[in-house]
Amino acid sequence: MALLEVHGLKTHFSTEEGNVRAVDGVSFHVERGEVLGIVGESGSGKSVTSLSLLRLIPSPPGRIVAGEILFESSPGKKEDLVRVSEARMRAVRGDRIAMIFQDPMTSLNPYMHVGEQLVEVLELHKKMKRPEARQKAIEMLKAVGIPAPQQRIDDHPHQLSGGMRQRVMIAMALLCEPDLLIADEPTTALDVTVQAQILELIQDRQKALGLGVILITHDLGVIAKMADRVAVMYAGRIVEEGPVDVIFEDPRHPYTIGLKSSIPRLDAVRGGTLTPIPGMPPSMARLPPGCPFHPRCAHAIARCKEVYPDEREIPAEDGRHLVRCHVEDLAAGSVAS
Amino acid sequence: MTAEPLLQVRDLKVHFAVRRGLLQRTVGTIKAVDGVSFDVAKGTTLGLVGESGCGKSTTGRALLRLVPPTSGSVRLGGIDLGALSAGDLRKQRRRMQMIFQDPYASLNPRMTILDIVAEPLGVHGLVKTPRERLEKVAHLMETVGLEPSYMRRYPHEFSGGQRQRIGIARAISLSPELVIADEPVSALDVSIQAQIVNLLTQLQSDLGLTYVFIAHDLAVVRHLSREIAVMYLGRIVERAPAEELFAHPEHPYTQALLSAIPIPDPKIERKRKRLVLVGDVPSPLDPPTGCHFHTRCPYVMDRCRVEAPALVECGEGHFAACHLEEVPALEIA
Repeated sequence: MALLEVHGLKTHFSTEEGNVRAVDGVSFHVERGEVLGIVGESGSGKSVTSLSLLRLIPSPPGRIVAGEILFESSPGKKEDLVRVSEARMRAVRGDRIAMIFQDPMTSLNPYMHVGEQLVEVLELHKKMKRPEARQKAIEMLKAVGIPAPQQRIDDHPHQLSGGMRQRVMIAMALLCEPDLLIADEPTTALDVTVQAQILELIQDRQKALGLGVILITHDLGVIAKMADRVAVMYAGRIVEEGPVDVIFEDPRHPYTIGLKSSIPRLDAVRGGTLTPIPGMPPSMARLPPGCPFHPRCAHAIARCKEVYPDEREIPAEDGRHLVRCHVEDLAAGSVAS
Repeated sequence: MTAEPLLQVRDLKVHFAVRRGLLQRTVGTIKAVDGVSFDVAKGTTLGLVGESGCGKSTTGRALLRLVPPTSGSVRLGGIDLGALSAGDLRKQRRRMQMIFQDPYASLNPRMTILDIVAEPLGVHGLVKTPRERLEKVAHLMETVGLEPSYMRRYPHEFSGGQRQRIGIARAISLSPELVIADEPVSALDVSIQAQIVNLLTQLQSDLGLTYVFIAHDLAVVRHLSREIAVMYLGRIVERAPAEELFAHPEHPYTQALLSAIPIPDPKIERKRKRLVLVGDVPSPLDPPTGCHFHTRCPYVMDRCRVEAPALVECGEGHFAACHLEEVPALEIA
């Protein structure tokens, strides 16, 4: 049984512009010890998906309107996080499912020593006494590569660099030895040399602890480095999903293919023009009918403007490759023009 | 290079005084740019790369004298910009324009696109009649791929990519020779970035523009630049033709920077060798002695801690500032 199974998740927001279907029927699963990468651009619904998993959607205006989030909180025991009580959710959050965000400066309390923030987690979830919790916090800071943790533990967040703050966030997320870690753009705010350190740290901890990880990013390079499986989101839905090698070598959705050919590569031959995806992502309040990608798609047929495509499985050697596109004979080469 | 380069920068320094306390006493100096030299030939692109705090943006601003340089010279087409009076400098400003990172912050929200794009034309007295103004703006909007009939709209009615096009239209309105682009695509979505990168390439070949392209994304910089300069804490540590820099990075920092960037190909990523640095970029307020990079360098020697290495030529047009006789080669992919 998978660690996490999400079925038909819909999270909508009521706004002045109308009902925004930020996440509109998303299904995926995460196994223990596996990294699922979720890629998408701003507004694709990737962050709303992750916040929905932890029921952190501000309500109003947001609401999970349908679907189930089945989480295996202990072996053989499944809970639907959409339906459990708020008290139960608080016990799961930070304990069994932990999350790290893009900006560690806004997710750490600026008034508290980092140590207090770590100790608080252990007191709350593990009912530890202070000295013991402090000891455990120091060990964890050491495990995430913070030099001189005995001294740093009494620092305020502003005394640490961006990379160090993100390490503290990771330490905090791993304190209770969670089963699932959700990392939402964990390195986007960091410089590349520091990003490399943080990604290696997440990879190292993930392997050591057998964590399930959901890694949300817009950076295909980060996905290639980190993910076992990839889900590509566009306008609130997963449009393609599959093992990482399949998604990069044999993408079938025109959006995935377009993303791949629009990024310049470090190891590519210089010159030539990039092949951008024309147009821009649609407004979520006024989605076009049918497949929301059709106004930007070079292969759109009449049906794309009317009917949202069903999920279709494409034979793949290792693992399931799913795509939502009406056009059946698309392969990587055919879209380059 | 036969002709004189369009832009010649020599030993440019920008230092900021750090003041603290009630009396605002100077307690230190941030050497944001600390002796930077380079040339850019007409019609080509120099990429200026580095991490936050390396001084790449300050360098860009100092070229246009948006921040006053502490010392050094900037020559545009042979004219020393530092020697000009305020009035003469203003006339020269037509020849050099800037594109900013954040298309949300760099456009006045209360002005229409028409007013935004036409403002530089008015300042420099380049349009005489309202009709001429309209025609010129319509033409500029077409040039950057915007529908001219949108010229009476306001910035908030446009997406990030479209706003960046507006910023570009404004920048090229005076037919400049030099355009400084400071992270022009980093705030944009991936699928939109390529549109803007292609537009910049197109404009360069159509209008013969010369670019200084400032960015932290080396893949984008490589795509656009003929030559690349890598900065670290206010100094250029390596400068080379783009292909050469990626094929044979000589400075350990360049190597680390290149190997830190993930390549969107899982098979390559799995077998890549990396030079992972320890620690963060040190504070520019208190940079390390000697070679600024010595605190993070895997090959550090005693000499590096006391003596700053000069930028010396190590191949044709390839310069690196490192004391090591031979830096172990590192393939980036």
